[in-house]
Order: sequence, then C-alpha cells, then structure tokens
Amino acid sequence: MAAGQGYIEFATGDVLTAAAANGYLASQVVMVFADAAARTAAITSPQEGMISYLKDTNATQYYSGSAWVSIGGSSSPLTTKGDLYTYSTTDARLAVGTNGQVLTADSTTATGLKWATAAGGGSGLTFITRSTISNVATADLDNIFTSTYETYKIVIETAFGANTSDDLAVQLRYAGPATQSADYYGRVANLNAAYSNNDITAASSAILISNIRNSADQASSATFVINNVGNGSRNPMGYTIGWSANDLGPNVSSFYQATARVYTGLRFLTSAGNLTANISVYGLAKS
Amino acid sequence: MANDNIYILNAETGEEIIREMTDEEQAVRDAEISAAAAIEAEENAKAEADAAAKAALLERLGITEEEAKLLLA
Repeated sequence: MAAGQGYIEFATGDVLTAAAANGYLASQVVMVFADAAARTAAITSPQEGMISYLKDTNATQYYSGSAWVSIGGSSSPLTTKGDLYTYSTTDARLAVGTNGQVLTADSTTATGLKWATAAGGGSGLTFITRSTISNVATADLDNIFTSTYETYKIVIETAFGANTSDDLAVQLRYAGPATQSADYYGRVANLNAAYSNNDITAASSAILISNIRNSADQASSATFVINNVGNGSRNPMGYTIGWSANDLGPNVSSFYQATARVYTGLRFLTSAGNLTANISVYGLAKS
Repeated sequence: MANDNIYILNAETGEEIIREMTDEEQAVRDAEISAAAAIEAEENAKAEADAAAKAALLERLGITEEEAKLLLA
C-alpha cells in the first residue's frame, strides 16, 4: 500500500500517475468496510494516517503506524435512560443508580465510579422522595424505607380531605406490596381551647392529624417522625405534631404498630373522603 | 358507580401510578370508612355524655364553669 503523501494541487495538463493516485487519493480517503476483518483482507499493509470506517460498529479509525485507533471513540455503549459514558480499559457503560444515590469515585470498580447512597455528610437528613397527591382515596409511598436509615421524617403540607371532619391517617406497607391494616395503638389530641383526645386501640390505621378540613386555603400540615420500620424484630413507632385546620389548634399524635416486620412504605388515607397533600420523606443518618 | 382512585409511588424507580381501585380494594376501603365512622360516633356520644355529666355536677355544686376553673387553677 502506498503511504499517504499529503496534499497536491494538480495543474492543467498534469498527468495523474498511479503513484500520485495511490499516494494522494486512495491512501487519503475514508475507506468503508463491512468490518475489521474485511479491512485487514483489503489492506494488507496499512500506512500511518490512513482512515477507515467500519459499518458493523459505526467506528471511524485511523492507522497509527502500528494499530487501528478509533477517532472520537467507537460506537456508544449507552443503552438505557440514565446511562453514563465511562471508561475502563475501553469505553464502558455505567447504569444509573437508584433514586437519591450520588456518583462516587471508587478505584475498586472497573470504571473507577459507582452509584452509592449519599452519606448525608455523616449526619442530618437526606431527601428520599416527594409526592404531590391530588384527590385520591389512598396514597401509597412504596420503597421509601430501606436499611440505610432507622428513622424517617415526613413533612406533610397542604393536606385536606373531602369533609371538614376527615382525619388524616397512615398505614404501614410491606413487601408484596401489601398494607398492614390492623394492630395500630396510640393516642391523638387536639390542643385547642376545647381540648380533646382519643385512643387508638387495635385500629386499622393510625390517625396523624384529626379534622384536617376540606379546602386548600384552609388545609392542615404536620411533621411526622417514624422509626423501627426496617427492622423485623421491632415495633414501628411514630409521632406527629401538626396543625388541625378545622380545630384551629395544634394537633399531636403518636402510635405504635404491634406487628413487627420489615416495612417498606406508607399508605396515607383519610377517615372518609379523598385526600390531597404534598408529602416529602427524609431519612435520618444513623451517625 | 366507579371505584375510588388510588395513588402509588415506587420511590425506588420514581414510577407514579394513579388507577381505579379494584373491587376488593374498594371493599376494604369502604369497611375502613365504616369502622372510622363508628369510632367517631362512639367518641361523640362519650363527649356528649361527659358534657352532660359535667353540667349536672356544676348544677349540684351551685357554681358556674368559670368558678370551677378558678377553683382548679
């Protein structure tokens, strides 16, 4: 094969020799082959600077003098939403992590990268998810509890039902998924002028806020903390402090679930009508 | 009549679904609403009975509610 000779500008009357055609043209165009094997068969003695295109991998390559090297990388290894284009000893795909994970350097992996749960700076709260719930009978937040955390803080905003006396309640969810609809014990109290409180005994759900009212402009809100949800040998416990829009006063409640198991999520519901609310979930770092 | 709607979020995948409850799910929901209504009715009846007993006691003592609060303050 002729080596590429660079550039020449032919003048009128010049004779195009075989050497010029090979050196200035054939060796300096992008040669198209079905695959690398076809190229090897066709170019038995490649010259530095030759360029080829392989149709099977969509790779454009130049000959370095000792090997064919991809220009701008070979075909993309990306296949799935969220994939990252990384490199090990060749171009490589790194699949997206799960929600809330962050990209972390890790020299033990092939690409030097991995998706991992954020350490949360060693302390404090880590955002897990936020849901906008609009006019539904029940709202299930599944897979919010993992072994990463033991305690979760749940912020409930702009919560209202279909009736002024609707109570906002919660049930625990577990793998299946299924809903724990028995064995809730606790107490809920309205600390308004006409103080009232009620027991929750062997109930199908635990009331978080009573009488949440029924309109967005007079909605209720609360902060709800729950722990022991991811531990099959402990009973989950929760406590809530919030604002009862219908009772015009602070509302406090607490409960425990008498059936210990590994719970993975929560179902929010009201005592009667549909629920509207914004709900954010945070995990509290263990250390 | 259509069943109620249910919202489901899978926080692991971010997938959100809003769908109509199955008949079985609706039956569970209806039973829970009935149970909650029964509990509330019981609580209201107890509150009314307590209020009546309190009023009767104040009358026997011959003092007003405000005077009773002063005594207990």
